[in-house]
Amino acid sequence: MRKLILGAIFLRLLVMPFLFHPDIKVYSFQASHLKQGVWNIYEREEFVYQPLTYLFLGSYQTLIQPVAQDLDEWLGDTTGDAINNASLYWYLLLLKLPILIFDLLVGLLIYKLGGKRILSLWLFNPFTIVLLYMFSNVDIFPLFFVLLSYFFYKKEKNLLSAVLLGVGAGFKMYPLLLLPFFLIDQKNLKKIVIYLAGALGTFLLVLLPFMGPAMLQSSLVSGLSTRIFQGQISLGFGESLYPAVVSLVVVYLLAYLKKNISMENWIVILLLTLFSFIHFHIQWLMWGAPFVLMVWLKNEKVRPLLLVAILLAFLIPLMYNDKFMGASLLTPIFPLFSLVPTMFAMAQKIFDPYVIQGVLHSALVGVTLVLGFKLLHEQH
Amino acid sequence: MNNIKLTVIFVFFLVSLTPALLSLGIRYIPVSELPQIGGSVKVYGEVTTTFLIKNQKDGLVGLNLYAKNPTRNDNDLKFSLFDLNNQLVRDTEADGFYIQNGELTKLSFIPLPKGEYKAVLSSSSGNYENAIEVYMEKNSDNLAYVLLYKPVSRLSLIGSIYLGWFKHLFGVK
Repeated sequence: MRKLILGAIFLRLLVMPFLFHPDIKVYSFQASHLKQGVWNIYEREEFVYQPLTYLFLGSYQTLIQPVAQDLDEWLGDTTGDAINNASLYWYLLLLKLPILIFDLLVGLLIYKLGGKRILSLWLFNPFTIVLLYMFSNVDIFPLFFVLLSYFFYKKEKNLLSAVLLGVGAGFKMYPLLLLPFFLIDQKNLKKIVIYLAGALGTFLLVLLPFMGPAMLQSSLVSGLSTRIFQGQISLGFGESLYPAVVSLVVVYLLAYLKKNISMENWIVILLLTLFSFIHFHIQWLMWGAPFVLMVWLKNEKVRPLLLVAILLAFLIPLMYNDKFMGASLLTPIFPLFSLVPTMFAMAQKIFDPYVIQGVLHSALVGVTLVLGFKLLHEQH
Repeated sequence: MNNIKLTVIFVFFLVSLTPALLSLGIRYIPVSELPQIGGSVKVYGEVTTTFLIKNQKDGLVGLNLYAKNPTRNDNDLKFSLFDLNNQLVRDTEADGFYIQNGELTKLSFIPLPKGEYKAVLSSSSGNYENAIEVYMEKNSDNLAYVLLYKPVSRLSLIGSIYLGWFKHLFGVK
């Protein structure tokens, strides 16, 4: 067990300093304002995450100040020269350290929930390593609280589970997507009300000190909350249908009608269905990762389909017209890797890359439908 | 193969062999960083932009410049290179439709030896209203561009990638 964890840490330390997505520099720069006494980041910057992300990362930067000299100058450097900074590898290592800690904490929870086999799968799979240390976004922080909430929910500590789900949403809002599953599973109305109040109450408590138009604009009305409404089918007269909303309603209603299906199945179905109908960020795939592993281990028959769904979900964002969906992620090794064409640019030479994206996305819809059907026919 | 072996192989491949593989995607190397840009000038009809390129080494394969096409028309941006005897040695075009506003535009051609060349940017099908614009250096009348060179050899490029990486890692200037 010790060897397993040490090996996993070693592999992560090997990639952490050499992979770089600019998002980590942007949100770390924003979080650095806490050191300068800025409490309400939303009045200063367009900060797209919830307050706990700011407070947590800002506090972490205060803590590492003695070993991160000139980090602030590097974070504030918007020229292309930032990649050539002599301390680049040290900064990337330091900034990714919270991700590593939460990665291991998620592993610990997974171990408590499913044992050594699932821990090994969590620690040793290329997908989470790529998502966490290449794209290095903040999704692992709320994911830890979602999993902790799920852990206490399994132990029938409902209020604690609800509060932890609210804490997770205080980092990034997506845990609220899973709230209906926790509510549906409650035994009576009183418990539903307590759970709802616990989760939403905690979430609102976190937001309250920061609440204002700036926060509403940059944090609540961004990312997922807008993507859901971007894909639409016009009904005429200015009215539209939103396929993502339709699919969410269908999944929630099915979860209500079929209570014998385990929650991890529902979470996988929900997230795959959602990603089928929106233009999603690659790092959002992190949201369902532990639950995908639970389903993977539990149900051998769905593994091929699940693998195809995962590969498609990875491939779709890699086809986006985004410089950092390719070799640019390795610019800390050699800055001129930014000149290597992306998959989008390469595809452009032979075919319309948007059509390829559309075909891949359509395939994901198909795979999700069949996978969902199979997972719904598994008894709890 | 179990997941542990697969992940170990993946990580070692990522940090050891991927840089060499990615070098295959580098078709040209800019001689320097692009200068900071200032204002822009229009290129249309008879109105061209001319400048002198002092190419100090063999293997010049193009240049990067910032251009914009505010009306997103499909006028071509033509680039012609003349030697000092005014003989055309290279010319190439960028389709205006793909010129985004203020984005980097690459003009490439087959390799040229070292020497001095007169470069002309033109867009004969454009007019004043729908002209493509190219950017100048900040506080200067010089066009903001950077020359692009073909890597001397694939092996030397791979060598310089790993050497640069280890130098950076161990703080060697």
